[in-house]
Amino acid sequence: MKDESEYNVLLLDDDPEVIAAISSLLALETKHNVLAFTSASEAFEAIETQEIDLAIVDFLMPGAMDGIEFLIALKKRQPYSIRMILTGYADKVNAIKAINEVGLYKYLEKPWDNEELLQIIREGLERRALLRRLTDQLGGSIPL
Amino acid sequence: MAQDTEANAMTPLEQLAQLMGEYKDRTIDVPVPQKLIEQVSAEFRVLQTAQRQLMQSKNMIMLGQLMAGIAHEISTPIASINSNVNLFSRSLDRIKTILGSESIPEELREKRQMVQIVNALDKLNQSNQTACDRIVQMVQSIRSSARGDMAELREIDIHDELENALTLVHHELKRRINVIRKYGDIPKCSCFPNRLNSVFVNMLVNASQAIEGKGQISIETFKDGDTIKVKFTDTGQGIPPENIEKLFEPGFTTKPPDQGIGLGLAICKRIVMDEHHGKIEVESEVDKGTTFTITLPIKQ
Repeated sequence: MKDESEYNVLLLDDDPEVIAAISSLLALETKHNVLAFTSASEAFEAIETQEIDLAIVDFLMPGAMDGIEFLIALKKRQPYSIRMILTGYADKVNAIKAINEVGLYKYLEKPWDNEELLQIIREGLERRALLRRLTDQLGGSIPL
Repeated sequence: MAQDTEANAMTPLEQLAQLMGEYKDRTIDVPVPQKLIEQVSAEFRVLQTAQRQLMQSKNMIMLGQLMAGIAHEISTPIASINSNVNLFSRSLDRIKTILGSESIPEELREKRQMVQIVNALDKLNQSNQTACDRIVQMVQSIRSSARGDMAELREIDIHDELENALTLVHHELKRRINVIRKYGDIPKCSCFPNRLNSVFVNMLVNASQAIEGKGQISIETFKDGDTIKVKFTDTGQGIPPENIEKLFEPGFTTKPPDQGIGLGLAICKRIVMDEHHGKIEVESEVDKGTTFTITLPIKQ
């Protein structure tokens, strides 16, 4: 299993306060490397060059690409990444779309609970590590 | 004779319109039968009530959309504040641990002012957390009562909906009304949650408005055969017997204009009876109080 500091956690939310709150929480309670973005297009550039272990994304965002489109792109490029949505707008249609098309790990609503969020991140990264080990043992890809 | 039959087939409004059309270019007085005037007046009142109901429904939909929009706008900033308040508390705990640690110089540990500052910050932060919790709870209650995707039949816990309604009317009840919960052991019930929520809000607001000064509202729930009963009892002024029968009629109200236009209970009745196939009953005694009992089938 990777050391905590080796995990790349991507945050994408157009609200800088949300980015600041979760980045500070992760800085205080974990050693993860946090990559934070307020636009999906910037985050999209990052996934072309960096491996993302876990992504926490809001789905309603201004600009050409929304959160779900970003997560679809992430799934295509990095299928073993753990993908989560954190949103203030509970919308059943988008939630179903996210679960079906994004292969979502968790769908969380704002306001979130810090302890619960940390627990979910921990479990998500354990799952990520397990997937990686299985892939290495099988010497190739495993179906998701 | 043929004309009479044709006239009879028309509604009073249509008859009046025809009469007016016939005489519109004449300057003579039109003798309109008294009975027709009464029929037209009665029909006009029905139309007026229907129009007010429609306006009220439209207003409720607009209000629901507005509330959902506001809740969404508040939920993101309050989510950050709520997280930061918690983070602040975690950070203070770390500082307290460091200050209590053996490894730091004695003189720093004994700086009473430093300890006092940390304790004061902790106390302030706890107060912020309480305030935040209240906003978060309010936003969640507004969201659950206003969200569009809940306009479908779902298995819900009636007690959760009652608590949501109580949060929404908190401002109406606080410091004046003592709420007593007599929640029984009841199963989940299939309902339209946001519709039922508006009935509960209505019941609580009515009960609160019936109480002058301080008083009490008790909410009792219990299972009765295949149904769940929800009783709202207030210690208010009560309803005179002559008004009990008119209570659920659209447009009937004894409240001042700024407190209602008399559609609340008519809408509640429609939601409970037509949409949930339940019952809504009232018992009241002047100067003692009123009990509204809502009966809902557990399965729709």
